[in-house]
Amino acid sequence: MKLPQILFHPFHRIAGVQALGIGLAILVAVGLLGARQGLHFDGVLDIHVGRAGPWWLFVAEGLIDWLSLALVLLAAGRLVSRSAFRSIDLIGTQALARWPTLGVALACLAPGFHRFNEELLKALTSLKPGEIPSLPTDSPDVVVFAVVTLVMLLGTVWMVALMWKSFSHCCNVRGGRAVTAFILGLLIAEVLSKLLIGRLFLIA
Amino acid sequence: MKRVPTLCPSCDHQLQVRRLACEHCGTEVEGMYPLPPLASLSAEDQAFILEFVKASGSLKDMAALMKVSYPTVRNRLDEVISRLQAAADTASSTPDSAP
Repeated sequence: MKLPQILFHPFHRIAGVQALGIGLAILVAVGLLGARQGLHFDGVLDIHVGRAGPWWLFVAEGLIDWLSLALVLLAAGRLVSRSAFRSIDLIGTQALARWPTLGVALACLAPGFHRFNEELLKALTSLKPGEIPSLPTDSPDVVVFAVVTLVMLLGTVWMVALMWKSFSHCCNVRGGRAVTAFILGLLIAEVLSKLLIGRLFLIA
Repeated sequence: MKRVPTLCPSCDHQLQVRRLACEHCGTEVEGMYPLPPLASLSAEDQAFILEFVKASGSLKDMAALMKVSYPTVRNRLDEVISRLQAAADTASSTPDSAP
C-alpha cells in the first residue's frame, strides 16, 4: 500500500473486523495517553485539555465519540445507499478513521505544551474587564504550543476526511445527497456524543 | 487473444453478431443476434466476473484474492452490475433489424 493511500484511503485495503481491531486498539491507546495528561476527546470533533479523571473516563470518551458517529452514519447509509453494504465495514472503518487522534495525543506530550496552556489559562482567567491580556509570549513554550495547536487542527481535518472516506467507500455513496447525509450525521453525532459524555462526567 | 469488439467504431452503438460459422463442417448461419450482456462488458469486467464465479460468488474470497478490502470488491461488483443493467437496457431498447 502506497503512502498517500495509507494516509487518506486505508479502507481500500482494510475494513471490517481488521479495521475494528486496529481502531479499537488506537482508541484505547489514545484514552490512556489522554488520562496521563488530562486530554479529553469530549465530542466527535472535540479536543480539550481539562481536569484529570479515572483512565476509563478517557477511554469511554473515545468509545462514545466513535459509536455515536458510526451508528448515526450507519442509519444515514441505510437511507441513502443502494448497495448491500455490511454494517461491520462502516463501524470498523469509523474506528480506524479516528487514528489521527493518536498523533494529536502524542503531540500533546511535547514538553512545554501543558505548561504554556496553564499559563495561558491563568492569564486569561485573571483578566479584568477592559484589561489587555499579557500573554507569556517570550517563553519558548509558545512555539511548542503553536505547533501542537496546528497538529490538533490538521489532525481534526484529516480525521474528518477519513470519516467521510469511510462512509463514502463502505456505503458506496457519492454526490450531493451523500455529502448532505454525512454532514447532518456528523452534526447529530456531535450533539449526541456531547450529551452522553456530559452524563458520563456526572458519574465520574 | 483477439478481443470481440462490442461497440461500432463509427457511431458507438452496440454491435450485433451478423454471421456465425462452424469450424468443423464450414456451415455458416447468418442473422442478427444481439451480444449477450456479459460479452458487452470490458475485458477487465469479464475477468472480474470469471474470478467471482470461480470463488463461488464469495466477496470475502475475492477480497483476499485481490488483496483489497470487502467494500472495495463490493463496490467493484456494484459497478459491473450497473454496467450490465445498462447493457441489458440498451439491448432491450434496440429494435430487431432483420437482414
